[in-house]
Amino acid sequence: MRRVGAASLVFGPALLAGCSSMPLSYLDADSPIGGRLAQLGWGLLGISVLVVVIIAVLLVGAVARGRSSPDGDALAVRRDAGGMRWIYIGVSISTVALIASVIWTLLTLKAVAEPAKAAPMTIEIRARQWWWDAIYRAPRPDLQFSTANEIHIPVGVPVRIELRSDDVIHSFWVPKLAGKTDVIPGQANRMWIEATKPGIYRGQCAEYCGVEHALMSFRVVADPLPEFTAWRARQLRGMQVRDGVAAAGSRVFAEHCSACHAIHGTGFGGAYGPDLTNLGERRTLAAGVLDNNPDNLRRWIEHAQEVKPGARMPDVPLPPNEVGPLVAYLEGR
Amino acid sequence: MDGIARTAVVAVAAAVIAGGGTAWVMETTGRSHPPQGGGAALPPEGAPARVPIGDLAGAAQASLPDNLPNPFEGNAGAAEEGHRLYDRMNCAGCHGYKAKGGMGPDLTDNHWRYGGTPVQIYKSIYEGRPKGMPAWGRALPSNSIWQLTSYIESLGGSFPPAQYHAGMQGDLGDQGAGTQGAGKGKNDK
Amino acid sequence: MATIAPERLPAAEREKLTATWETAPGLFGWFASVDHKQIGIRYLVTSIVFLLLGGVEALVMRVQLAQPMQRLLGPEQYDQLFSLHGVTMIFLYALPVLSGFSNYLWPLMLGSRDMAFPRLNALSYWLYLFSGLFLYVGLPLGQAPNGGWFNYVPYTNRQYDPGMNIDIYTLGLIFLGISTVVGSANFVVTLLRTRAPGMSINRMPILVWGTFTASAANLLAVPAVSLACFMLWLDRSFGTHFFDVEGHGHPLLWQHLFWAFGHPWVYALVLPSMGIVSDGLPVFCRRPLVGYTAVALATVTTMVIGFSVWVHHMFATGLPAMAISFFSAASIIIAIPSAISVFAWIATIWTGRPVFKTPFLFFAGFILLFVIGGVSGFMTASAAFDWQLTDTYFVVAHLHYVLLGINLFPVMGGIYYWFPKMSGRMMDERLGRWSFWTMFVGFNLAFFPMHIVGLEGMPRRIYTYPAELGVGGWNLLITVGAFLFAAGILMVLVNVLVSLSRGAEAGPNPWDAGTLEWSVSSPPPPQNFDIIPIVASRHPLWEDRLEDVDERSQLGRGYLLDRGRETIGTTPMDAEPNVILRMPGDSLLPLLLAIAVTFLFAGLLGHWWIVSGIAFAGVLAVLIAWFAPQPPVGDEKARLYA
Repeated sequence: MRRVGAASLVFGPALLAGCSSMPLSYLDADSPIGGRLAQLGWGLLGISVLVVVIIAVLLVGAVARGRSSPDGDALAVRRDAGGMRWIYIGVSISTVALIASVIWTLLTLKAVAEPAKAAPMTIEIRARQWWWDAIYRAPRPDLQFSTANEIHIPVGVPVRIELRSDDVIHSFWVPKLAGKTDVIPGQANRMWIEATKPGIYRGQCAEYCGVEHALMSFRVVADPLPEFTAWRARQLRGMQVRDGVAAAGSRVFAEHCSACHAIHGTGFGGAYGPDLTNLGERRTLAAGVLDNNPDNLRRWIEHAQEVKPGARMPDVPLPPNEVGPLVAYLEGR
Repeated sequence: MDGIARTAVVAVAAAVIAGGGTAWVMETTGRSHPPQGGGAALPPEGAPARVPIGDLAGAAQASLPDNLPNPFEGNAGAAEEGHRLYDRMNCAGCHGYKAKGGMGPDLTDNHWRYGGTPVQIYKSIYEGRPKGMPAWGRALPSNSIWQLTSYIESLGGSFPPAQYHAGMQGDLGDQGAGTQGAGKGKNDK
Repeated sequence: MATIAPERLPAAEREKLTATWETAPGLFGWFASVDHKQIGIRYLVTSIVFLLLGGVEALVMRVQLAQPMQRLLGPEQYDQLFSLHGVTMIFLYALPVLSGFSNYLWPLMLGSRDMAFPRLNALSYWLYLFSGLFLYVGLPLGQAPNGGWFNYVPYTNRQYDPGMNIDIYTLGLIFLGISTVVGSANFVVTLLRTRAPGMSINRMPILVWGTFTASAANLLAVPAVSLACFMLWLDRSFGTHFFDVEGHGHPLLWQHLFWAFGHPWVYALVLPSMGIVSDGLPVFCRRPLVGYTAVALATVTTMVIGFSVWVHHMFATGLPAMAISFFSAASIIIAIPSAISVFAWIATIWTGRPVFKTPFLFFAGFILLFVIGGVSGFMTASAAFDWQLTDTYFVVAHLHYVLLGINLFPVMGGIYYWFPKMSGRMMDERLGRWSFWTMFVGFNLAFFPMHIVGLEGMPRRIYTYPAELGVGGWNLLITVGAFLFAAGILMVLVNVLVSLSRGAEAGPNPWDAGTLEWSVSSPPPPQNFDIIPIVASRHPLWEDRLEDVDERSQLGRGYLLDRGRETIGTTPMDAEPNVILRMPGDSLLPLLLAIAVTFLFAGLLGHWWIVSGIAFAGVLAVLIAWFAPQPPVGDEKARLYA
């Protein structure tokens, strides 16, 4: 019995060590915040495993040593006393470990509270049921732009995140970069993140927010600074109306989509759904649910309720001669 | 409790639990969440268009579903979603934030120039109307327009689907209540 | 095995006492009974039914989650299931089952004839039953609560969740809260005033300490959640703005009120069952509990500190660092009193002589599960790391280890331990061992991997997950373990049902235990004790075999109290007798009051104010009848029977 428990405790960490490829795992994080939290986590995990193993050994020992022999009325002891030494020693050792953990926790809290150097950039994240709006603010309005569900940051630069919600409580969590912070309507929570290596970091909403909470994920893409600057320039430039097939697509967009969706660089300014500027560059659709390719985009437009039942994106049935150009336009082809 | 009573109680409890569970499955299957009313089947794409506006000649002979009900009838979530759309699509800009009117008419009273039954409200939003009501039919999917209709119905001034003629006062409705096709709106007692 | 002759009174006297205390036969008696033993068994049966309902909800969810991106359940269905599962288990199973044990056992352990307020006792049961049904009334309509058991706003405001679901939740919890508060008040007064003479406060069983602490805490904590629910109901029904952001309400207000209740509540769910182990384990180690005083004090200390840790459920909400630091420190320090209990139990086994019967297996296995749950709690108590752990399956693992490990396993052990007392029969020992191992293996198989998937980042409260998260394999194992665990529970229940008719006959003290409940027959007579005993130590039945007490408890001489339903009232600390208490007999008033309250809440739910008004008038009428003055009683001198 206790062998089952003890064995899984030994194997657990071993299995974990081989699991660093999990997109949402955080014990292997190496960002400034994520790494500090992971260190604390491994320490606490180590203490915990040790405690369980010790107790398991003591328990097995206690049970194994006193085999009961049926010998009538006598109890195991004559006096209701003794055994207190167990409590004194056990509690003393526990107290030392617990107080040490308190101190370590407080030190970690202080270490991750602020970045080493001031964050030059702030991104405002507005969480909505069930997608993420990212607004890159700037001193001048014409340098401001929005994107959705895929947030780009430069590598090696701390970025301040300002979290607001338009509806219910969500939670912004990108495990490999930082701990989670709730997004609470009526207040602006602030946190910071920094990636030391380029890559795509998966994020997830981490507070139950309604039917599609499960499928409300996002990506943080950390680019080296030149690539980030180029990306930002492309976002600001936006998508112009194109010729040919894409022009037909933009007309379809104007009629059927622009009431809710906006595209930078055009006159489309719908504020209900995500900004779709340069949608073709994004790696996923529908808040991280689908890989971004033309087939999936078509599926999302026509059968959104099948992919993400309850999402605010309705099914938009369009004739085939309209869907094709629309997808081409959005994917930037 | 003796044996027979105990068996009876257990049997009743089991029946209640089984029945309740089955009912739950039936009620919730196909329903994703109230705001979308995923299980509601929308009327076919041309059906509302064939409902005539006003007392056109020959309208009485038309065998059309003029009493088309709102597919989201009774769905509180659809009304909430409609409210959200009302704010986001800036209906409030003309009709006021409490739909009490401004540049556009009051949507909470029971005066409807172009009809106050669900399908008539739907058509007004879909087709647009003279003097400034834009046509939303191609910009918003049918689903969203029915949700807006649900919201407007929830404000209390609309008419039930069966009162198609009573719900329409036309321009003459300006000349006072009760003369032309006076019917009872939801607000009237 | 020391035998105690149960018949110390002549037959005629005993029959007179039995006739006085017996519940009336037939349907009237069934509805009007105020006998704590019957009420205790009703609590146990009803809570086990809710356990099974909640278990079915869990198993359906586990099938949905066994593999990624399954579509067995839609999101709305899953959301209703996980919300109802939490509400059922935490409110309708975990506390009532402990109330059941406490209700049945307290007077027997304390040497009393009934609880302090027998009619109130019956009322708390009927209110519990009806509020449980009330919480489930939306289920057949597809409107079960769907905001989680914690019901955060603004998601559960009318704007985002307009159906009846949350109204059922808010009113249902207020309704259930009445039952809890009424029961808690009863326990507190019973403990302070109706113990047997000589049972000073340091001679009570630890189960009594545990339930007492939990009850005192509930009296303070339940109003917080009742208030929060009432405020939310007002928001939803009348458009007030307590939690509505546009009206300058604040979502965090709900969280503070809810968790200020919720955290003390979870200690109320586990302290009595830790008491079950503290009382039962020593019997199977053939020695008294090591460190009785330390364990009793640790129980109270845990509860007191438990009132100052609630913000650890809110570490990620953006509260100031100072607040988070304080609550994180308190949440880590609260492990110290728990450590006292753990080492006391281990020391008891080590210095004792274990008897490997089924109850012992449950009580010993519980210790390991307690520690695993405790360390996972320790990990989440550290605020910085909790920012990664919270809202993942790691917390799900933690809460199930503490709630099932510290509540369910002792409850199952308690069933095996006290079944002979309640029914007069023994449960099958072989099936008992099989049921324990099935439960233990299944439980660990189901819940241990949840730590792993939580550390791999799987969030909680999700109806499905993408394959690329890499947690599909573990989830399949978890589902298999869950079914195995459920099978183990079913085996316990089968054992109970079969043993009721075919179990071996049990005498008054089949386990050779030391506390007072084992000195009466199995099942006990309606009056519990023919003669109210005079107590001289913690283990009245072991005094001859322990050397530290010179006095002896008097089981054959004490107060007779046979002029109607009477029991003795004693002082709170030292249990010196100072008053004779007249106890009420069978009464339909508790049932009538519960029915009136049910109509009151039903009217509020449907906005049928007339119904609520009439029901409220009914409540007042019943209360008037309840408190109607009795004819004055002349002074009576208590007769001692020797």
